[in-house]
Amino acid sequence: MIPPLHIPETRSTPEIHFDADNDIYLIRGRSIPPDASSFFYPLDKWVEALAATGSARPVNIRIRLEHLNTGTIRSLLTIFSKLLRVREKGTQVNFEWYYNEEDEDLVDKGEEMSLILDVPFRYISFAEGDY
Amino acid sequence: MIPIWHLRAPMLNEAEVRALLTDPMTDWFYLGQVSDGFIDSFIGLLDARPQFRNLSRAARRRLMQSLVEALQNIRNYTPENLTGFPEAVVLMQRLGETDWMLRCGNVMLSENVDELQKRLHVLSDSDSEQLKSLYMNQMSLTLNDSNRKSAGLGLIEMARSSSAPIKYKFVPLNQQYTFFAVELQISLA
Repeated sequence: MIPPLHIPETRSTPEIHFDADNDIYLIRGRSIPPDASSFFYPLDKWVEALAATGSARPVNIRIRLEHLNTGTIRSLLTIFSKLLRVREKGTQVNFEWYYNEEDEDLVDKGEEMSLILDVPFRYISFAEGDY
Repeated sequence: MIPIWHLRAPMLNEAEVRALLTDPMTDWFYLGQVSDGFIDSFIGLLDARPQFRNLSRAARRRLMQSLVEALQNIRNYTPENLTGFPEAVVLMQRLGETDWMLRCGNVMLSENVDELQKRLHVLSDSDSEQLKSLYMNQMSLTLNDSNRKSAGLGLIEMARSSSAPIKYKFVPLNQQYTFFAVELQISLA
């Protein structure tokens, strides 16, 4: 059993909530940390543990980011690449990319990550105020 | 409008400061050290400004990302333990209803100028599709080789965020240090 990981949101870093027992895999908020690899290190380690054990249930990653800096994209791509290894254990992995309906440009960022990872993302719009 | 290379630290004179303060298009101006703490405080300051809060969500994201990428780039490439220079200058000026000019300058090691100049030359000569292609290639390379440095991903993102070709200039300060200035045009339309 992997203990849940919960990092609260700040003005420059997102909320991270990964809890395999309750099927919660959420990254939400603004992600512009000065040192993204240090910030995402706990998530990186958590995902390595999941990739090693696998999951009987599908892993549905919900990414709901408002701002992303280059370091964040680089860190998330590294983490998601590791996560995709869990498929070798028969675990299904899905990515849901949420974007505000007033900011469709953000879809481009998701599409770029999807292309680099070579996995399809599902794009879901939400309304202003629907946090 | 004062060209940013005239603002190279520490040679900002009284007339230049006055010109900046009285230019109605000056949105904000900063001269000093750009640390992680400064960037975080700056984000808080920007969040608190009504002019920023009143922008659309897409415009806020575009502006915030361009600024943060530029500031983090300064932080990453300014030599440590600089003495005699305030390290960096950042100037934001409004060009119109939906356009801003962001000018950043920082002190860098002269020995790194040639390499940076080559990269910037490619960026300023590339259109948006070419910049996207550069970004995707570079990101894939850094992803496949964890020991590889980011190799200018921040600069590529800065160029991508600019609605006009990225402009830059190098001004030697002494044998060891050079002042590097870059200019972006951010359109929120």
